[in-house]
Amino acid sequence: MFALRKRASLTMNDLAIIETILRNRTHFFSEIRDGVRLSEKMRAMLVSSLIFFALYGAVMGSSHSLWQAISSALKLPMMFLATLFICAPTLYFFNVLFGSNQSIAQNVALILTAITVTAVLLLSFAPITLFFLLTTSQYQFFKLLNVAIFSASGIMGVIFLAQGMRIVSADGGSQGAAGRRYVLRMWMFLYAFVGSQLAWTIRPFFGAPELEFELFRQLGGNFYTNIFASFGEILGFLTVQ
Amino acid sequence: MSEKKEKAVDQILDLLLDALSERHQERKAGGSDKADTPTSKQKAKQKVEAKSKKDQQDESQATPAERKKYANAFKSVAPEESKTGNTDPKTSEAEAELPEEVIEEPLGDPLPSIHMNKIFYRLAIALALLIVIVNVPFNRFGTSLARAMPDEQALIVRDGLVFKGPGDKIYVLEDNQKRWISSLTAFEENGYYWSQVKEVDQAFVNQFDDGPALHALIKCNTQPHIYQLEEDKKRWIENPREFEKAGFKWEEVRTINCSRLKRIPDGIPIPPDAGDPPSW
Repeated sequence: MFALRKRASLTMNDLAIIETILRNRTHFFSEIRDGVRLSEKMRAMLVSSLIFFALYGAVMGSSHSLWQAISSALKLPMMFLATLFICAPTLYFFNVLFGSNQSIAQNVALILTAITVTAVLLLSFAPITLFFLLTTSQYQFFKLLNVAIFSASGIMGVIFLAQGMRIVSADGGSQGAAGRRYVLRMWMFLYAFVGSQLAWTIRPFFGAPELEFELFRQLGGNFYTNIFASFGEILGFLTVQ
Repeated sequence: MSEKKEKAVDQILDLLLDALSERHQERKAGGSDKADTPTSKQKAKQKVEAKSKKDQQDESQATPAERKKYANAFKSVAPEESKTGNTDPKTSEAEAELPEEVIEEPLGDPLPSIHMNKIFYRLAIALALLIVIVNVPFNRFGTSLARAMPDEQALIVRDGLVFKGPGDKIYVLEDNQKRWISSLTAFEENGYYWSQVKEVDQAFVNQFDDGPALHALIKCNTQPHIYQLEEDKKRWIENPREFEKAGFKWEEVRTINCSRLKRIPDGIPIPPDAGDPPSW
C-alpha cells in the first residue's frame, strides 16, 4: 500500500513538469539551456508522455476490441519513442555542424518536450475521440478524425520544439543560426515522415471492423495512399476494399 | 551609420543607468516620497538630455557584452519611459537594429503553480475508468459500448440474418441458433436471395449454437415416398415416424415433377440403416 502510494506520488510529481512546460516555458527552456536537472526533467517528461500516449492509444483501440485497445496502448508510446530515437541523432549532428554547442541530452530533452506537448494535447482530445467512438460507427471517418487530431497535436509539439531551440541556442551566438533554423525546419518534415511511416509499419491502431484482432498487419500500401482512399470513401468517389 | 546609432544608444543607456542609480541613492537617503516627485524626474531627464547631446560627439568603445547588459537594462527601463511620455525615436530605432540574440525576453519570476499535475492525474484516472467501462461487454456476443453502434455495412445480429462463413455452408439465424440451409432448393423455397447473404469470419459462425438444419422436403405425384434434399442429393425418409422424429411438418413437403426427382442422385437414407432407397 505504501509502495503504491509512493509510486502515485512519484507520478504526480512527474506530471508537474507539464505545468512548467505549458505555463513557464521560458524558464523551462532556459533551464535546459543551462543543463539544470536535465535527467530529472527527461524522466518526468518520459513518464508523463508514456502515460498519456497509452491512454489515448487505448481509446483508439477500443473502437475494435479489448485486445486492440491493449495493443494500441502499448504501440502508441512505442511509436513516439522509436521516432524520437531514430530522429534525434540527425538533429543533433546537423546542429553541431552549424555551430551549435548543445549536448545530445539537451537535444533529446527538447524533442521530449515536443513529444510531451503532443501527448498532453492528445490526452485533451481523448474525451472527444471517445465521444465520436460512442456516437459514430464509420471506420474511415474515425480514422481521419484521428489523423486530424494527431496532426494538430504534432504541429503544436514541433512549434514548442522550435521555440525551445531558439531559446536554448541563444547562447550559441549568431554563427550558423540561420543554418540551424533551416535544419530544424527540414528535421520537422523528416520527423513527420518517419513518424507516419513507423505508424504505418506497426499498424493497426484502430483495427478494421471486419477483420479479427491482429497485433501487426502485413505490409503493403502506404500511409498517404490510405488516407487519400479514406477521404475518397467518405466523399463517395472511392470504395476502400 | 548604424554603428554611430548604436554608440549613441549606449551612451543614452549609460546615462539612464546613472540617473537610475542616483534616484535609488536618493530614495535610500531621503525616503521614497521625495524620490518620486516630478522635480527629481525632470532633473534626471534634463541631465540625461544635456549629457547625451554632449557625449554624442565622443567615440566610446563598448564591448558586445557591455552592449548586451545595457540593452537588457534599457528594456527594463523602457516601460517607465513610455509611462512618462519620454519616447525617443532614436532609441527605439536603435533597439530595432539590435541583433536578435541581444533582444532577449527578461525571464521574470515563474508563474505560481495552479497544481495542474492534480488535474492531469485526475483526468488520466477518469479516462482510464471510461476506457474500462466502454470495453465491458454487455451481452453474450461480447458487444460493448465502444462497439455498440453498428457500422453502415456491419451486420445487425437478429433473427433471419443469412450468413456464410469461410466454408460453403449458408446459415440462417433463428432464436440465437444457426440453422444450416442444406440445399439451393431449401434456400429458394424459404424466400432467401443471394444479395442478403453476409460473409462473416469463422469466429462469428462459431459463436452460435447449431439449430435444426433447414432442409427442403420433396416428393412426386405418383410416388408416396418423401425425400429430404441435402447438398444436392435426395435422402429417402423411411417412414412417417422418422419424418416426425426429425421435426418436419407435413405442410413443408413440396411436390415436384417425378422425372426431375428421379434425376436427383440418392444420398444416405434416414435413418442410415434403413436400407436401399425404393426404386421406381
